[in-house]
Amino acid sequence: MDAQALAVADNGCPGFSRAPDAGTNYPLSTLPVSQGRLQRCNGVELTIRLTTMQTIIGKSRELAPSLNDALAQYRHKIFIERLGWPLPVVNGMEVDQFDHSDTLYVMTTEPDGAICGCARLLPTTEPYLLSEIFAHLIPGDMPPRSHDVWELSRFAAATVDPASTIDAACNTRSLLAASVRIAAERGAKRLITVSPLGIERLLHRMGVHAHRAGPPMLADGKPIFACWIEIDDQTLNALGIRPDHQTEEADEETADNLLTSIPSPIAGQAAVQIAKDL
Amino acid sequence: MSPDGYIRLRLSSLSMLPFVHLFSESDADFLRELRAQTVPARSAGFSEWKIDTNPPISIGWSWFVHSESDRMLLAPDAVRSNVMLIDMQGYDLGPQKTSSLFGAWLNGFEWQRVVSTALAETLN
Repeated sequence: MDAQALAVADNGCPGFSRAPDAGTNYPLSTLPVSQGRLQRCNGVELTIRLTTMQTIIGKSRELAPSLNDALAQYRHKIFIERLGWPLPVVNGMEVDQFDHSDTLYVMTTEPDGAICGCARLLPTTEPYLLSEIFAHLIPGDMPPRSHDVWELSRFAAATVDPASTIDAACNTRSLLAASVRIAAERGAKRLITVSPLGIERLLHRMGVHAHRAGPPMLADGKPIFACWIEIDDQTLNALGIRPDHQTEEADEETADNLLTSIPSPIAGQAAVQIAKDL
Repeated sequence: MSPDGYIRLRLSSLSMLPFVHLFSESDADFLRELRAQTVPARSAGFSEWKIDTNPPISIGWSWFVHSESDRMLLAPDAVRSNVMLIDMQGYDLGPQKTSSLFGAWLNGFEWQRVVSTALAETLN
């Protein structure tokens, strides 16, 4: 969708160089410098946003090997070094049996490309973390198995660089919004996740429709629980996702003013996304 | 349990069911959050309880100790559970109303003594 929209923009609108590589790069608006709506460009209505953070979505087999490695190293830094989780490690990288070629990942990255957030999505119709390791968190030990339920795991929105200027709340919201959006596009109506208890409070504060699937239990002395995230109007509104799964704009400006000031979409501090409004 | 994972019941049913304390802990991160919001908190944390029904009812909330009165209070935060309260006609009250009513219900329940004892035992 985004590649097509950019191609349309390339045909008539100044300020854009090329479409991103299909299937791997979905810049999303998180800290908008300016945003607005272009009413007509080659007969197509477009919405333009400037970002300072990028979001990458793709299955493991679609991502470059270097990006897969960077993700595993990031997960090691966050989950093992920083949070102290007892997770499997391979050559200094955090990977487990649920990281395979069809695993879907969502990442946020700094302007320089460093990963600053990650999430993993798996369909519950195949083995997933909760079903294989944490089924006891669900009453009756009956984890969901359904085409409209996906598992969200390895969710972390944290910068590694102490000098990073990425806002933590924006990073979290963007990562979760992208995860919900991409799961919904694949048919999910709900997400299930195993999380520390603090995540439940965070989700409630964000206004997301989340509720526990059962009582929390202690794992290595820390309380964890199984959590439902409903992909409904409440959650979509809380995360700024429209029913057609596009993210919403916070402000609107005239498109003409935007186009004359937009830098090259890939270079420098700003990345440009064009979402096609149908 | 309903297909969506909620246990549906009326608030009036809760008073007949015995709540069991699971654990309570201090939470330094939450204390920092409250202080950043200028809430006068000396300490803060969370408390988890359940009712041994089948399936079990799970309810948890955040608390803080008011720095001036030393009273343990329900934090300005949602009471969290796997319950969807329903009205007399059986209609869902919704997640926000459910949390809010739980908060009001907890005000009539002396949970502070149990939590304080649990925290003291943890320190020892």
